[in-house]
Amino acid sequence: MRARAKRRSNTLSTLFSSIPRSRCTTSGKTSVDIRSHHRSRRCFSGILILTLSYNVYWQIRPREGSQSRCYQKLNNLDRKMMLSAGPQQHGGPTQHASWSPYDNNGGTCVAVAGKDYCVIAADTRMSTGFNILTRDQTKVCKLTDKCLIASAGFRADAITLHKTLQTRGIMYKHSHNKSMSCVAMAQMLSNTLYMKRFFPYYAFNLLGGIDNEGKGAVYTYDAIGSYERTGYSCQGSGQALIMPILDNQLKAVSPLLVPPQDGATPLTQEQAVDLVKDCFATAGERDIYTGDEVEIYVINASGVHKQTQELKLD
Amino acid sequence: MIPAPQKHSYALGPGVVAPAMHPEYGRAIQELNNVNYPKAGGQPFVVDAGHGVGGPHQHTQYPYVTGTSVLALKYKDGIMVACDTLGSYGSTKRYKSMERMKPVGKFTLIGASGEYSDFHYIMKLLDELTTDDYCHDDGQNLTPTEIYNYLTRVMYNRRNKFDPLWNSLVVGGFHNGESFLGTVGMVGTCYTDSHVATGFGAHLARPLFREKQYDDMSEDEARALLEDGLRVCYYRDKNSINKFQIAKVTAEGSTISEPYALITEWGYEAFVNPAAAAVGTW
Repeated sequence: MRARAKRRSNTLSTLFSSIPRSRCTTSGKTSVDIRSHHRSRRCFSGILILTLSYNVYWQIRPREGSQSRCYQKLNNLDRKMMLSAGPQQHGGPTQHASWSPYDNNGGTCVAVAGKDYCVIAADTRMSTGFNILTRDQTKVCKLTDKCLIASAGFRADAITLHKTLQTRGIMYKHSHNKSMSCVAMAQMLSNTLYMKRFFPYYAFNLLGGIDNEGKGAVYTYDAIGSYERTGYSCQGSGQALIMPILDNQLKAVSPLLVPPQDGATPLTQEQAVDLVKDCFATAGERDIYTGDEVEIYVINASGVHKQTQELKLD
Repeated sequence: MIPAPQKHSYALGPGVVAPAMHPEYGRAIQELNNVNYPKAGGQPFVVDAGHGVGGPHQHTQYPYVTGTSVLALKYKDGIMVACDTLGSYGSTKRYKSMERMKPVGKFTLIGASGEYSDFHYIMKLLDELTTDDYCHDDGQNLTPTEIYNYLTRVMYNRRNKFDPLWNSLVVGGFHNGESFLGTVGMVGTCYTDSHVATGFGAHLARPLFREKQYDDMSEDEARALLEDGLRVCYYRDKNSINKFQIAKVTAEGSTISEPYALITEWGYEAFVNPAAAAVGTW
């Protein structure tokens, strides 16, 4: 723990040297080696420049509907009340302190499905505004032995969602004497999100796992439950930075093909993990809500395996 | 003739109708109660709030008496928590001896910033749980993690009802040789870490903690670091006073210190003429 504390205090030197960790390593043993990094740099530098001009802030900003309108109205009607110090007397017009039921704690999730494996990863930074709340908060939750969920967005909603899914998964197992399949879990997540259609969970989810045929599966969602099975996906604050990289490197299968094609990527498991690490290193360069550490889970026939990779702390 | 009650009062129980619910007496009771509205603000006392007088149930729209930052960190023997003892009324330093840290059971301590009456309500909920534990007398007590998760749910549920408890809470505990430190916000945002701070403390004190805190630090080091945090908060946060309490939770249980003051220095040149180094300000 002490070593970690020291690492944190070195933030400034990391910042000024401006050498990201992934590029510091010279040993070929490290999973993100220089060659692969530079190769990928060349490949998608054009795309990167395009991407960086994107707005990296969140796309669906929660709005305070009636409340803010109410606040405005009171403001206009009773400017006089603002003069009196302190909280208002009972019975008089109330001065509203504005509050939003939502927060955005940022973070990025990436998932890649292969023929017989699935990689799902998320960074561990939790922020609010320009504050980093903690550098060590997992976004990934194991739902069954073959199915994991990763959620960016509002942490309190994500925790609630994870708890609900986990509980229902356990109840399913108790009543059916088998684990819920990944496909069923994906449908249930959609239903659970849509149940709160008019006060949505502000969580951006990826579900990854192995389906009943043993193939890798990635399900990608919006906040209100629309979902799609894909070969790879990315959600959260770094989405605009990472998604084009994945598109460039992996190529999505056209959904218009008949019969429908399998979306699984042709990469080996090791290649997929390397790609995910590169993605997070890239997003961490520009997105202030992505950093600190990335947790990478690989789900395959032998179970769930976790590894971590350090990201920049700035 | 008074018609038989069609529905019962939630507060009084089945078969009993509250006066305010009664169609005949409703208006009279309401007028009567209007006379008795507290002049200093707050809700009038009614047995069956929400069904009675004064229109619909009011949600908290504004915090009244508030406390400022709470700082806390892990150290060798457990958790140390600190805050000042001020209860502000808007910008008025209204109550100067409020304890904003309270023990819960044997292993846990809660520190609260934000609305003070909401904190009392939260403590009432927790005291009910600990009393229940005590009555069972089975040696099973709520652990710090359980209390933290419970509070997370309470805060999140109230947020879901658009009636939030206006607090940021710090939960510190030591149980089975392991220390626990977490925080829960008004809308249910929660996390655990080696050091936490609410309010201004997140901006002013946590950078110091990030620099110096490590989990094996001694009690003296931890206290010195916390006092540094308190001092910068006192220098920069106008809603704070130089009267602090430091609490710790260790294997021996929790102790909260008597209030004391820190030595401060206001004679720095940069304090005397702050604009000197910043051309263009006033």
